[in-house]
Amino acid sequence: MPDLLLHQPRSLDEACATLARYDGAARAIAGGTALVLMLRQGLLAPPALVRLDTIPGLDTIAEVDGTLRLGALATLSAVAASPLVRARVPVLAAACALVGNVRVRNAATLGGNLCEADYASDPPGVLVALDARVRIHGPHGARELPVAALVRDFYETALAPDELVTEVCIPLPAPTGVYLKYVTRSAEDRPCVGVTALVRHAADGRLAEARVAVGAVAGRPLRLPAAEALAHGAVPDEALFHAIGQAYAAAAEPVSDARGSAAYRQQMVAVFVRRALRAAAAGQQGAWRV
Amino acid sequence: METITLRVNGRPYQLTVRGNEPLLDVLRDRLGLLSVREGCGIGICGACTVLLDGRPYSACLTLAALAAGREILTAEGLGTAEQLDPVQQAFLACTGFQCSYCTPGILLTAKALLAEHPDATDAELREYLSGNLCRCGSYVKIVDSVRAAIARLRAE
Amino acid sequence: MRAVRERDAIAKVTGQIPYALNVTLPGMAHARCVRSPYAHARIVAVDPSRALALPGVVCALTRDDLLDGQLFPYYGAAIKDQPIVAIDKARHVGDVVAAVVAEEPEIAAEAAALVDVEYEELPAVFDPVEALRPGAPLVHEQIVGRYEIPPNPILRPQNGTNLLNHMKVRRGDVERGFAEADFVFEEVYSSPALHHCALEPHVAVARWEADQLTVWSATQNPYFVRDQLAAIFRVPPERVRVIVYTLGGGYGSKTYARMEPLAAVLAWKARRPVKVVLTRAEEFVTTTKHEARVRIKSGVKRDGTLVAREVEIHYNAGAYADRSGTIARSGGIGAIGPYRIPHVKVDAYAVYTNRPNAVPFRGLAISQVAWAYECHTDELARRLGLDPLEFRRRNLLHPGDRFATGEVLEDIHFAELLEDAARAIDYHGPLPAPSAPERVVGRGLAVIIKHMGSNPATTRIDLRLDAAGALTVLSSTVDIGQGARAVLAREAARALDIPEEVVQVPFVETGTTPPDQGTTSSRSTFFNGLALRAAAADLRRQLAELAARLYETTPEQVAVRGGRVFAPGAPAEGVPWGALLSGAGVASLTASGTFGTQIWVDPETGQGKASHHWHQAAAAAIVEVDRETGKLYLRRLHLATHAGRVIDRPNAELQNEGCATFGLAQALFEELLFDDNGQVTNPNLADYMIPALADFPAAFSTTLAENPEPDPEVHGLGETGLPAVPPAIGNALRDATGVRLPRIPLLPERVLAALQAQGPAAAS
Repeated sequence: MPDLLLHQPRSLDEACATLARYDGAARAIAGGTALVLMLRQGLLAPPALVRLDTIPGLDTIAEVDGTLRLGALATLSAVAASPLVRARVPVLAAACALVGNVRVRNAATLGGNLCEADYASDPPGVLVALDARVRIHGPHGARELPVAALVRDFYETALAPDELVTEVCIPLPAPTGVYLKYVTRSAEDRPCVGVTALVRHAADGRLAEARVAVGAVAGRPLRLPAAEALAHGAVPDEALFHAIGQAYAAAAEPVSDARGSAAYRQQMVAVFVRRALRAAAAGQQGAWRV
Repeated sequence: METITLRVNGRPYQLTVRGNEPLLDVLRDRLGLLSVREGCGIGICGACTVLLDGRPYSACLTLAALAAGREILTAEGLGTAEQLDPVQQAFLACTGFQCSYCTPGILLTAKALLAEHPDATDAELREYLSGNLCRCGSYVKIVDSVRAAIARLRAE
Repeated sequence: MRAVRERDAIAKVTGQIPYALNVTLPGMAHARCVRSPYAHARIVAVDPSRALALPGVVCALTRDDLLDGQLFPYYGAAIKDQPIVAIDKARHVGDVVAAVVAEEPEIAAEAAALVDVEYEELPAVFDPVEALRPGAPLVHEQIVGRYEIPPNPILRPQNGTNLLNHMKVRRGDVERGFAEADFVFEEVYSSPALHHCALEPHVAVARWEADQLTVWSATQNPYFVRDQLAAIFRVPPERVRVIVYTLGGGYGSKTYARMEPLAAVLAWKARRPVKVVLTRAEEFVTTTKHEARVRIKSGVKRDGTLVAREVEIHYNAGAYADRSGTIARSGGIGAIGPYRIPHVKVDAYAVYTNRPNAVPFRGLAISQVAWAYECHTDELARRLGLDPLEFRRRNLLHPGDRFATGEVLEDIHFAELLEDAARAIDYHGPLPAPSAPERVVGRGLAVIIKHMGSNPATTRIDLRLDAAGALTVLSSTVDIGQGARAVLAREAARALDIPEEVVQVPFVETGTTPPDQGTTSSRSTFFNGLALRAAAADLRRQLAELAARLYETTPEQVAVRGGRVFAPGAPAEGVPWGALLSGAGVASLTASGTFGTQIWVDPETGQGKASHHWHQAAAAAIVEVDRETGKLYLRRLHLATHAGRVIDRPNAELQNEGCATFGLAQALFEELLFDDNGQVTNPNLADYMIPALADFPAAFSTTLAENPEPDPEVHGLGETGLPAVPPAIGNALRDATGVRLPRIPLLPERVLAALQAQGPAAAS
């Protein structure tokens, strides 16, 4: 590996300016779990890395004005263990606790996870279901994007090379529900299908809202507002869960990989959307590997 | 090149490293800490697990320069033949290993579990340690060993 | 002072146990291989000049270095068909075509990419059945007459074909048996290629000092490596020294010669020490397990008596012979299972293809056939409306019965092992309730027979007693994690009636530790134990003679026990051995013991004696199956093996636990995947799954069955339990769902497809 320069900016402006100076050739490094792997395998050979851990305050987790704000540098372990996240958005804390292994969770950050845009990952789908937005810092100031718009395709984001995700913002109170991580091989495998289902009940026991995001099957998490709308004002029963599951399966354009063929994934989308909705409607909160 | 100070097993080491040099290479090749072993090289097997400020990390996916300023622990710092750590004693008593290539990483992960969740249930124990792979398949006795270490901790 | 067992264990938990990977030598350079991107290609030209121009590059090795006659360019476990680097053709994706040596591993890697190789792609063949068809591409145009083939009646390659070996077993008249049967039933089962995936990669470090070669290697066969290296350099074997420390896992992958020939030749060319360490991706194309297809047909009487069984096995050997000839032999002999069947016909083929080399893998040859015969036997019972346990009971081999080889079997315990497994999962009790409404529960059993390998074979052990009273066991058995050195110390202490703590067991070094066939085939503990006894008897004899000389009596008057000698005229409390040696002015005594087995089977009929004794195991599993996803959840697993005598209980249990871990992963998810061009598509641990703690059932139990007599024969456990595990799981799936899957792994997708093909009406 040829050597590279390691920049240690003290502020976001400095970090973005450094990235801009390299004109897209340099990379920002947070937890490094994805980046160091690529460096070691020679898939990337940037002339410089820009550290983000030298910028103070980027890992803060706080509730501000009805929004849960998670600093991009918060590690998945920190999100999983945060009393605030566990109290306000338990599904996210639990889902982060299912990512990779304990070492990966200690190093990998929430922002880094989103910016890597790896399809076979757990948090992006959960965040999409939560209507999370990211705050982005660039040379021309800050902007915001829904997570759904940040992740564009396999390993592709809407981020310019000199932009940085600084915060993940989740509107509160969030609807409650579950994340189901379906693995087809070892328990340590990545998801074949990952489904988040969140619901809000109306006073009469019917559903006021349902949100479903399907992850790990395509380049970006899938949400279908039209299918979610079936739940509005509906009685939460098997027929409803089944119908929504079928709608997601019909719309999914799954990949084939060692964890499952496209055809199998299509069927599993229907199964796990139904099961996740059933669990969410029954008031369950959390994330499970199945 | 970066000049850094690494604190490893309680001792400071002044080193000049490449910006992209993995901690694994520095610990193993330069500091001669041979308990840190490459297995998969992609953060999955856990054979190169080290503790940074008490928490497990894959040394293969950690840049040495980014580990500066943190307290690094390897199996060499856990205990010696004359003075074994209670976790090492538990693995010794339960024969929680075979070829032992993965063992230092498992010991360190167990050490972190005990610190983080001193009252870990069996289910938590299995979940926490499941990211450290033992190809020989010593899992029954690895679980026994960690359970024994937890019981000992409780008794103290 | 501590016993070897504890010293090794302390070294292991402190991370201080040595591995070949730790070896660094002054002036040592690092190698990297240039590998073929094609499964089958003629090598037109190899040009290393761009690589050599890179600063830090020491030298490159190409076929030109092998062709001037100085070196013998081939090696191989049986047929020497594997060149050190490709000479005329590349035979699989990842075949070594050239190698470079550089000051640093990173430079070597960079340089390897700069070696220009011109290939002419050839048609390739990947399937062993297709490879036997006339007109199939030939992996080796000529075998007999070109390669060195050891005189071995069971190894019979055929020129002009890809057939490497054909083993036959013929007993009774299978056609008559089928005619007599009330029910004849035929199925085909298959199991995929796998990768061993020892966490320590293949490592070899070679150094020449004058005309003396020293190689540090992670190998299970140090003497074999020595002899192969000597042949390559055309020197006497004594000029080659192989040093082996602890192996970071082997499971068969580190058998015979792997990277040692390349390391030694590179060190010879570079004129300095060279280290070869494979990358994880290279590991996946260096050693694999034999993919196999097994056609099995049985004839059975209405009352459930098996009368005939015919089995045809195709083992995919990959590009080089390695031990595939033996695998066809062992698999052929074991293929009918532990059943009393009068009419038997087996044809086992080992076939060259353009896949990476298939080599011994824990459960050698038997896991493939046991997957077939134990699923088939189970299915047969169910089709006859018989309980699978009861059906097996009626047909199992008992002591005094003849096996497929015609030999009379004694010391066999299949019935007890099977009953133990059934009891462990409460086979006759109610099934546990499923944990969710869409899940169903089932249970399955399997029982297997496995040869002890490496026959015929011999092992020698030397014992050295010095004047300080220290006893050193010299053995070339390798510690692969099974605790071999600890077992040697314990058995030596037992044989000589001395404390374990005074026994030393140095690491293997072929210059000083005596010849041994290799730490393979679940044979070491058994062979070592008996060689040790012979050596101990020799040492006792020498001690008695020495004492007799010193105290002017006869050896018969001398008693040797508890580390002392007792003789008329000697102090009544006895004389410690060290004092005896000092008193007699003898610096040390060296005693030797050997043990060998003579095994022979006729390759045309499989009749003879195929194993000194037989390894035996039974497994029982309870699974839960999600009918909507097809996923299997292993709820309970029990593994029973026949140990004969347990020497070190925790380590013996660990062998069963390891076999269970391997077995369940093979049943559920392990599989090496290839694309249409023969390239491995999952050569890393993110895509190739090896079992994790969370995959291992919390409800696991194991039995180590021992013989009641005072000093029973030790049975190896390294591989014994493995072959029983996948069929027990497959049979549990069948029990739960009615689905019989002929192919492992039982991936959810395959199970679901079978469930859906069953239709909604099918009951479990």
